[in-house]
Amino acid sequence: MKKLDINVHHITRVEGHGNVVVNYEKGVVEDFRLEIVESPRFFEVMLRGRHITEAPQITSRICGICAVGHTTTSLRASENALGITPSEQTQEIRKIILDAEFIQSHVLHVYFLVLPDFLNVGSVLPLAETHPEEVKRALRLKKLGNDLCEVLVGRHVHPISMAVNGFTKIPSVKDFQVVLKMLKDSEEDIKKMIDLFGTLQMPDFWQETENIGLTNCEFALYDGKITSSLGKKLEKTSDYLDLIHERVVSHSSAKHVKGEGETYSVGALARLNLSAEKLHEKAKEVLKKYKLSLPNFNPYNNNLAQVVETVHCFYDSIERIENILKKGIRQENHLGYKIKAGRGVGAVEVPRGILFHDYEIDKNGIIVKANCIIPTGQNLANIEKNMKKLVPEILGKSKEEITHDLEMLVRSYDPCISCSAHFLDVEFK
Amino acid sequence: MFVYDPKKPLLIIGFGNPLRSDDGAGVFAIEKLKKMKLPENVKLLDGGTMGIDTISVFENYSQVILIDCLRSDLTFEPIVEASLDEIILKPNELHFSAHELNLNSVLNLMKTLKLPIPNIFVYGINPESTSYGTELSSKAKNAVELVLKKIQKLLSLPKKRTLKSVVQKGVI
Repeated sequence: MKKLDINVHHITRVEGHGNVVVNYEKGVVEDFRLEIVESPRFFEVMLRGRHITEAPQITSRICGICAVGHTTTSLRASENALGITPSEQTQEIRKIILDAEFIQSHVLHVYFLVLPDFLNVGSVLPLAETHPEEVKRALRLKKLGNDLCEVLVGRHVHPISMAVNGFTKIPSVKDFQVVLKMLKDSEEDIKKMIDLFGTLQMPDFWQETENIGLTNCEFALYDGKITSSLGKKLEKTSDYLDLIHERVVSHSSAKHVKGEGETYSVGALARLNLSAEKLHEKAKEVLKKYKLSLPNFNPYNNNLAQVVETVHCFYDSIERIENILKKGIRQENHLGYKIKAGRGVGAVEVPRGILFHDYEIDKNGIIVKANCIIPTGQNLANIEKNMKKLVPEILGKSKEEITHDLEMLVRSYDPCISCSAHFLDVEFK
Repeated sequence: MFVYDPKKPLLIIGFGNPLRSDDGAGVFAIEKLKKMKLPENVKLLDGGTMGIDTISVFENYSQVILIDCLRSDLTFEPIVEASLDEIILKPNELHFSAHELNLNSVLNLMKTLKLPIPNIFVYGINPESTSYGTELSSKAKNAVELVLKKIQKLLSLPKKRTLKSVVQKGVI
C-alpha cells in the first residue's frame, strides 16, 4: 500500500508535535500521537528535593501562558499539605488574577490560533495584513489580562507576589482602582469580540463524551468539587485519583487519562456543560446569542465556549474588584506558618481545563513526591476518539481538506503542549 | 546597526525557561544584572517565555538589548551578537529558543501592524543543552559572563556608541 506523507508545517498554531496515520482505503485512523513535549513528569522530578515554598515559583515556569494557573494550583496543593486555609481576601484576589489569565489565554487562542482558519489565512501574520484592527484588538485584550496581573501580582508570566497563604505584597486601593478602569475601558473591545465570533460557523460534528471539572455554588474556577458529567462528585480534592485514572498507552509517550468512562474532556466547553447556569449574566447573554445548546458535544464549539468564558471572566473580575473596594483592603500578614509533614492536592480550573498538583512533603517541608496532571494530557484520548469518528465522515474530501479538518479539531482543544517547533504530520496509507 | 544612547531609557530583557537548562541563560543573565549597579536609564526585565506579549513591552522603548539562548547555523562561537536588521533579514538562520511566538514573528507582526519597533541588539548564547534542568552548563555560564562584561562596558560609556554585529552574512 502506497504511503503519502504530508508534512504540515504550521498546523501548527498548536504548540507541539502531532502525527496522525489515516488509512484512507479503510477510512480509519490507525495511529494518533500528540507529543507533550513539556511533559509534567520532568517537572515532577524537578520538584523532588525542593522546599515546598519553592514549588509555586518553579511550576510557574512550566507554561508562559498558564503561569498563574500553575502557581495557583501549586499554592493550593501546598496549603492543603500544610493545613492552611487562606483568608477570604486572599482567595478573592486569586480569583481576579485567575480571571485575568483566562482573558489573556482565551484571547490568544481564539484570535491568533483559531480565527486564521475561519478567515482563510495561514496564521496571525497574514491575518495582521488582512484584518489589522482585529489583531490590534486582540493584542489590547491580551495586554489587558497581562496588565491586570502585573498591577496586582507583579507580572503575568511567572507572577512574583503570589505566596503560600497570601501575598508578599498586597495590592493597594489605588492598584484596584487602576485595574478597574483598565477593565471598564476595554468593554467596547469585548463587545466587538462577541460580535466577531458570533459570525463564525463552526464545523458540524457531534460525539457525546464525559466532562470533568470543578463545580461549586459559583462558576467554579478557583475552587470546587471535582465532578464528572456521568454523576460522580468527589467530596475531597485529595481523592482525585478515585476519578482520574492515568494509564500508559503503547502508541503515545504521553499518558492517557480516563474518568468514569473511557475518555473525557476538560476545558471551556466542559465547564459550560457542567455549570453554565452559574455564569455571569452577561456571559449567559452571549451563550444565548450564539445559540449554543447545552450540553454540547461539538468540540469545535470549545472555541465559542472560550469567548463566553472570556466575557464571564471580564465581568466577574469587575464585580469582584468593586466588592473588594467596597469592603476595603486589609493589610494581612499571614505568611508565617508552621511547616509539617503531609500531603496536599490542588485542583484548579485553568484555561484549558482542570489542573492537578499533588505534593507529599516531609517534616522539613521538602517535597518527596509530586504528581501533576495537566489539561492537555486529559484531553488526548478524547481527541483521538473524535478523530476516529470524524475521519470516516469526511473521507469524501481531499487529503488537504481532511488534514485541515483534523488540524482544526486538535486546535479547538487549545492544547498547550510546548512552545517549540510546530508541525503535525498526517500520513495517509 | 544599533546605536546606544545613554540619555534614553534602555530595556535589557532576558528570555528563556530556567527549567530548561541553557534555555534559561537570558533569565539567568538578568538575575545577575539585578545585583549590579546600573545607570538609571536601564530597566531590567525577566521576559521568561512571554512570546507575543513582548509586543506590548517593546512598544514602550526605543532601544532594547535582548539576551536569549540562540542556536545559530552561522557560528559555533559561545555568543552571537546581532542587530535588528539581521534578525529580520535572516529568519531562517537564527533560531530562537522554545517560546510561544519567536522573536522574528513578533517583529514581523509589529512591522505589519505598523507598530514602532525599537532599535534592538541581541546577545544570543549558544546552548550546550536545553534539556530539563535548572543549572546552566559551564559553557553557557561563561557565555553569560562574557555578555555581562560587554554590557557593563557599554553602559560605562557616557556617550553614544554603536554596537556592531559579529554575525556576518556568508562568513561561516
